[in-house]
Amino acid sequence: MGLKASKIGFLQFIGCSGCLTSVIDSSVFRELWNRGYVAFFPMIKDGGDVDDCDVLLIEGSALKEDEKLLKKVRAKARRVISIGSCACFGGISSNVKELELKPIHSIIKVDLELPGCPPPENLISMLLYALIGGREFKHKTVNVCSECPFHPCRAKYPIIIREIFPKRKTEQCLLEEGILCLGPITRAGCEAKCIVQGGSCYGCMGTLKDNSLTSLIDFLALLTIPKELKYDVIDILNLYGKREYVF
Amino acid sequence: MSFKQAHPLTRVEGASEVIVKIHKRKVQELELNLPVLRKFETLLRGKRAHIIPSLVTKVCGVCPFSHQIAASIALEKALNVEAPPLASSVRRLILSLEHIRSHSYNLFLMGLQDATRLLGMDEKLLDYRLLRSGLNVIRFADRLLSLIAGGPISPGISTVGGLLNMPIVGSSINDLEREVKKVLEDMNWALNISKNLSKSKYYEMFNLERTPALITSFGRDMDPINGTLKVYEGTSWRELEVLEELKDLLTRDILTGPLARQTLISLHYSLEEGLPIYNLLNLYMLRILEIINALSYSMNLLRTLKDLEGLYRKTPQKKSGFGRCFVEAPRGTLIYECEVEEEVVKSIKIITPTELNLSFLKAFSRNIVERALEKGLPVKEAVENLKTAIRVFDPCISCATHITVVNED
Repeated sequence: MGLKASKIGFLQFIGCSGCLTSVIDSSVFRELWNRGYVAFFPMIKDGGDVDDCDVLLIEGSALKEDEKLLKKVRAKARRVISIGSCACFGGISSNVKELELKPIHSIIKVDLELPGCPPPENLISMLLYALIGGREFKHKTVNVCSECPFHPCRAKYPIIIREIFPKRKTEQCLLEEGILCLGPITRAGCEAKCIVQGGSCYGCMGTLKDNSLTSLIDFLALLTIPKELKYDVIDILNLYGKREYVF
Repeated sequence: MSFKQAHPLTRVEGASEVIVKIHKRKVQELELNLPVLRKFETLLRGKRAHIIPSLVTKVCGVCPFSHQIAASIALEKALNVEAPPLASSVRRLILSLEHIRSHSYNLFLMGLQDATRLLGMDEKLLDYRLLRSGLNVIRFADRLLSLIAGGPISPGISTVGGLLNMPIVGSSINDLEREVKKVLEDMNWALNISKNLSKSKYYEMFNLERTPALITSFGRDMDPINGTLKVYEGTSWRELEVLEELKDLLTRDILTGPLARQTLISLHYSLEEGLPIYNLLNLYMLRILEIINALSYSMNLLRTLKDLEGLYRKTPQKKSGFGRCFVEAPRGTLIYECEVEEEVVKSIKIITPTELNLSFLKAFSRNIVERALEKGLPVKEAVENLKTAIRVFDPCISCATHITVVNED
């Protein structure tokens, strides 16, 4: 990143508004607003111009028809950052075949991606502080398990998957109980919130390693998935639109 | 060369495309297009029933838990299980907090900025105070939602049969109680602004010439989750026996949301003519009142929950069946219907409050432009009134673009 951003723009394509409301909810937003850093934010502000932006943050995935607008925007903004799983991977709606929703990086050059559905508030604040301070934003290099209260997993390999979603409260590693959890191959930062609340990790934060396919194959090699759950597991692996997972 | 989005319809969640065609100062055409429907129903078909409540939070980033709770209850009906009373109380609490959050977005960060134009207020001062107050209220709701549901947007804890987890309220309630006073000050300030809107020179243009039919599932005991669907057409409330009746109503002017809820309550308390809402701008006042009610309701419920323990989840008795549920989401009645076969969702239908309001929103939008033009206002001001009206409706449009005015004069 490097350069200090004095004007930041926020734009929404096809998404649920959750990422942008998370930006507004973040602890740093009031300061950004009061100090005039927010150049462009149609969801809550009239006027403004993409020209004014040092950095443009984009929520949502895009259609082919959006290509023209995205290219125009890219040419005007010095840096573009995708926020949220829709902008980064296509998102949950990219599984609706007839829509053909795409991640932003597949249409224009993106300088940084901050996934999450929505991205955690603390990461959004860290990103915004890094932008105005001209510092580099660093992604976590550990997986969700490192933040999980039920870590470590004591399961014996191969892990037999019996369920894709916990039907009862668990006090131990989900995989240990035979419940699908993508925590081991998912980048940390969310404080394992879904697991803490009684759910499972479906990987909205993206993969830990650059080569997501390799990490996926390594992970799947540890699992035994019964026939009747095969398609459910594929659904979960593709939930946020990680197209590279399709096999 | 500078690039600007053409006439963006700002300050709404998502956006829509509104095309107004004006010829010789007459509205020729007014279209409100929702260009991309995200087709969530398609996505949910074929999925395991138990996973659905965690997926539907992705439909909307402003009221995700209304969707989660509605999906959970519809599936419970399909699978013949009733959530324990404790779980229902937590769900009511979550919904109530979501009302605070969603209404605050509409009031402070989107709609009330129009007071600058409507009342000639100082733009900078108003924007500053709106943001400050808005963030105070939103953060209060966020903190509570984080405590109860794991976060303001996700993951949520409602599931088929009750809750995934029982929230621990503990001593944090004391800090929150101290904050309520501050939040009420912000609400009081917003109430004054909304009252003053009646002094605007544009106020009369927002009058409701005819009352739309009102739709709500709110119970007389103000229960947002276990109601039946009711319609009010100027005389009394009538229950809709079958959902097909709704199809007929959808072609007419209907309105769901705060006005429907508050009319039901006021009639219940024998106010003869219901609430005196003859002007669309007064909807802001109703949202403020709903926030204040929700604040008091949430704090009372939290105090009770602190000491409660017990069953918060039950196991479904069946693997197949049909279920339907009505939930009072912030913007109005949210309807979920689903058919489940061997724990797999065969079909699912979601009707959102914005869909219910759409026909009336379109009709009123046209009307508001026509009135402005008849009064001799310039096209630009007529379009600004149109934008204000759309914001008052508080539409939630999950997809986006701009407002385009084709003026053939």
